Amino acid sequence: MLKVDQVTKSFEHVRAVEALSIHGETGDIYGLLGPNGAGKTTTIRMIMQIIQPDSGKITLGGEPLTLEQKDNIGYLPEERGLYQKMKVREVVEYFASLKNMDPDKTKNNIDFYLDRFDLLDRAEDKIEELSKGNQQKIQFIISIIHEPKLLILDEPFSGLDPVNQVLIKEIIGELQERDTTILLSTHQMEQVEKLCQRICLISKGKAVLNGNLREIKREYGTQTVRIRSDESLEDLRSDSAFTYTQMENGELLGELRDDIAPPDYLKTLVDKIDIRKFEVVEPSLEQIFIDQVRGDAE
Amino acid sequence: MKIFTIARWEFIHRIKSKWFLISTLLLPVIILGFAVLPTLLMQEDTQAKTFGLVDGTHWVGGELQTNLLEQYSLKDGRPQYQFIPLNGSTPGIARATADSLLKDEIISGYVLIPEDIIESRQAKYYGRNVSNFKDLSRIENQLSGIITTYKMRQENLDPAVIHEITREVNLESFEVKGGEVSEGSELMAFFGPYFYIMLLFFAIFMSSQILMRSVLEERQNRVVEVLVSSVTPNTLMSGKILGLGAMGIIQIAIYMTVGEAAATYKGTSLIDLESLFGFIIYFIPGFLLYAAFYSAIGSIFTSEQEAQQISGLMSFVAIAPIIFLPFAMNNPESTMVQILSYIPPLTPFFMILRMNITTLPWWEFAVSLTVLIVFVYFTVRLAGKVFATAILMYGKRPTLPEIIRWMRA
Repeated sequence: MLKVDQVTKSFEHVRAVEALSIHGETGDIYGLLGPNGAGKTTTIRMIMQIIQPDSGKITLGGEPLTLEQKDNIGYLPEERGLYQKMKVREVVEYFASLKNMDPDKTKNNIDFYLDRFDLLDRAEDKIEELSKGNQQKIQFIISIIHEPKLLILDEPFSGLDPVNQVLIKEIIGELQERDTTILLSTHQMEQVEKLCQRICLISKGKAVLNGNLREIKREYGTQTVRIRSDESLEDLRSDSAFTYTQMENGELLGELRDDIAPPDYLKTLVDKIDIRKFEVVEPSLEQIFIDQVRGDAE
Repeated sequence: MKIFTIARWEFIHRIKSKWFLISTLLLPVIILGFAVLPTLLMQEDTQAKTFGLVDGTHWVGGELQTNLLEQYSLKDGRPQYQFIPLNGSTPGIARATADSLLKDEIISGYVLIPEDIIESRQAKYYGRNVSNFKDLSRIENQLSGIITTYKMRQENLDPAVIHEITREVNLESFEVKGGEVSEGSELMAFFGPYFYIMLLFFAIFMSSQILMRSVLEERQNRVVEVLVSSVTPNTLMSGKILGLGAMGIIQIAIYMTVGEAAATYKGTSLIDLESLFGFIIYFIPGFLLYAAFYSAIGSIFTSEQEAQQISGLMSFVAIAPIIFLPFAMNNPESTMVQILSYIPPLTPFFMILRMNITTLPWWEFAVSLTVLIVFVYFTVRLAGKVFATAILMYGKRPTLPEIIRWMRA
């Protein structure tokens, strides 16, 4: 669906994005991660044709980007803001018309989503009369009102209370079912872990991790194990098989030496102590993120 | 076409705004006020005025009273001026009576005619206020007339003959334009250029300032990020210019209608087809020039205060024609005025000014328009480049070398 192919972009002396590729399938939620200034915004702006890549190719649904393709993209920018003096319905209608949306369909969609976000009774209110959270919901509606094939969400959860975060997540799920490809840029790793099938972690303009999230996790850290026992685990902590250990809620969390496979270690362990739990821990995305970005900085 | 969607949005929301309503309606009201109010006030003499008369000659006052009675009356036929002759055994007593009547507001003033008025040509008026110069000048003229006639008779001259001899010559003026002779109205020859220049000034600057504010606003509230995800910066800028240009034309139409109505009220006409055509021909490139410039300014600055400084400087440039107006009206053929009308940002103002004062050869229109249009073309292109780059830059304000680099890109 969305194919960013070996895209490079430089600004004056800075290489903002280098040979970046993203392959988002139809209905994918693709996480675009990276520290501030890594090149996420530049990437997003190139997909939206606000700036042109120096080299490389971007296609949407197999077609190269054209101005008409802008109508197939929805965008929720990180920086929020709307015309404060205008009425809710007017503003949403305006943005829909800028996407060449049919007026009747626009009206139906506005009613549907305002109702979905519990804002139908505020349709004729001015934007400035709405709370910040509600304004944010309106902006989310603007990004999806024209039923885009590709939806780009930049920090969609920031500034929302937990109830509304759940609501947004539900709607993202619904959009995914309707084959919308979603590019999600956020620093909230737990949201990415819950939502995304694929991720691209950018650091200094380059993809340091790219692909299926589960595979990345599997590849990344299979040496971490979690052990629980009714017996004392203190002796185990000094076992030479571990490069690092820590106690967490009475459980031992340890990093095995690279030459020891967790199943082999389990075999040797059952002879030593009475094990209640032995788990190969997937590293958290947050851990991966920090490791990668740090490693990249060194 | 998305450009029209944007133009429509800008147009509708500006037209509907209170600010537009106030600024558009207030100006004609003020102009109308200045044009009509004094006339209205002058004509609205509905009350008879009563003056006291202390007459040292015992005959001049009587004639004054008769003359004023004959010449000035109110709409309902009553005499406008009434005099109460105040005679005392001495002039001092008469004056004391007059003062007390004045104090009691029975009379609004009194005229003191001294015994030696024939020689001294001096009379006095005492009143609660002395700003009723219209009344005072009527009294003064009548007194002068009475004394002059008296003197003529003394010298055995026939006043009728003298009046005939001293009758003034009337210089009638005609305007010759392109071989056609029309009766010139001096008043309109004077107000016409002013009217068009002010119109141009307001239409261009109000619209482009609104344009600048609109760009600033969309940058400040970050709406621009969503906008450029739907349209190109060029479409955005063109749509805005189109929408606000339409608003400017509506404003001009309102001003012209009001101006013409005021002129008609004064029994003349302000707008002729030729001037109107010339106005439109110069308004369009003039507006484009300033609109492009102001949208670029709006895209560079983040706060209105900063942008206002530059835009204030710009309106200072454009106010030059208004300052030059009196000079140009007296010397429309001067080299200075001619040179100024070929400096593109000033061209619309000076050309409209000059063509309303004098008849210009066709090549002046051709050359000035060509220079202007070429200049506008490059300004719009450069402004478009600056706009497209600057509109998504936040944080630090771009430096001049940076802006120049964008223009070259």
